[in-house]
Amino acid sequence: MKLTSEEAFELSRRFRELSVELGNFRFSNWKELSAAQRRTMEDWEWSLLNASSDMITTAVGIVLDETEISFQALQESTNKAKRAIRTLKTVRKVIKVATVAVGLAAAIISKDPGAIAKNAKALIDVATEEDT
Amino acid sequence: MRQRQSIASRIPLFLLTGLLVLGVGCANLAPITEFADISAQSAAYTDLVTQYVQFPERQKRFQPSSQHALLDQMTRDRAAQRERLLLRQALIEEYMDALGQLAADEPVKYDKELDALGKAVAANKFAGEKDAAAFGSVSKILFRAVADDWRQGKLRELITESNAPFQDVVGALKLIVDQGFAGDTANEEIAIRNHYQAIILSSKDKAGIAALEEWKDTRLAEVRVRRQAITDYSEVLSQIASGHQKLYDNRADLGNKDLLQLMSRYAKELRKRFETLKNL
Repeated sequence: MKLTSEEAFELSRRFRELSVELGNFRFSNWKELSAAQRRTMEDWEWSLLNASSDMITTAVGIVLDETEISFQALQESTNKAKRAIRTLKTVRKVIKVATVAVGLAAAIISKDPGAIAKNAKALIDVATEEDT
Repeated sequence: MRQRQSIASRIPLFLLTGLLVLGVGCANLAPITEFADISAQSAAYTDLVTQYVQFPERQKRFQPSSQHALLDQMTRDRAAQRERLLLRQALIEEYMDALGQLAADEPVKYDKELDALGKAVAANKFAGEKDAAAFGSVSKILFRAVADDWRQGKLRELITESNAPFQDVVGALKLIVDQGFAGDTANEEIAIRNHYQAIILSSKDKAGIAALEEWKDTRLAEVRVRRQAITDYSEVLSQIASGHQKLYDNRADLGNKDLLQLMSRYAKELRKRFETLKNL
């Protein structure tokens, strides 16, 4: 049976509580316990505490797996939004291109080779420049 | 000349017709942008993920060497999760950033470019100065109205489509923060107490005991700072999720005054939390 994230977090809590109970007992009965007994109890406490931390790691992994589909869906929406923003930036570029194209059109009409070359280059430059 | 005057005189009519057809005005959604921007900044707080991954290594200070192999394995397991956790945070940041840009005025303002176009038209004798100026004014308003309407449509579409997965992703991250990261701090406190208490009880040196108590308090204070960061970040995630839900609930009227005021309040609260978080 597969563990859910909720169950894994609950197990982590239970292990922690057990570790605390054992620790409380060890410290409350410090003088009555032999050194060997203390050491054994301490080992159990650490093992339980680490089982608790380990269960946190497991639970985090399960949460990540459980939400993978939503993660991908949100990623897709974000990409769509970015494309929309790029479109708005493209409009800006189109107007810039039109501005330079007006100059080129005037140069062509006036049959001025120097102006045609200059404006054609300007048009290429603006059309190929990076979006800002 | 007559032709030019005729165009100029018709421009207000074109403008009016255009705006009536569009049926929109340019909405100022600045509070939504403000909320999205601060959400993006706050979501990107990655210190907690780093602390989560480093937790087993920190534990080695307090635990006996017999536990170190187990802690090393835990470090490897958590390091393998690091990228996925950071990607979750990065996605929330990216998403809110995109939402903020779509809500912002800037992408639909083409005033500078349209002025340049108007000047080019006049300079190249395609129109008289008066017509070019009129063309500039009209095109600015029309372009902006069209682009703004399109932008708001895209924003509405984004919020509608994304709310369910967004709530899921943010909710999952909050669960990890509230139960996982906070669970670590609880375990860390226990480890510190276990470590120092055993030495204190075994010691007969009063000065040594006092020093150990101080060390214990210092370590516990460090954990308390981490716990505060966890509480703040959890609250940040709650605010982001709740703010987005409000946007979703009011998606039909994003320019609504009450909604915009609410978004300003969310932004203010988030900024306050984020400042506290940064200063910890």
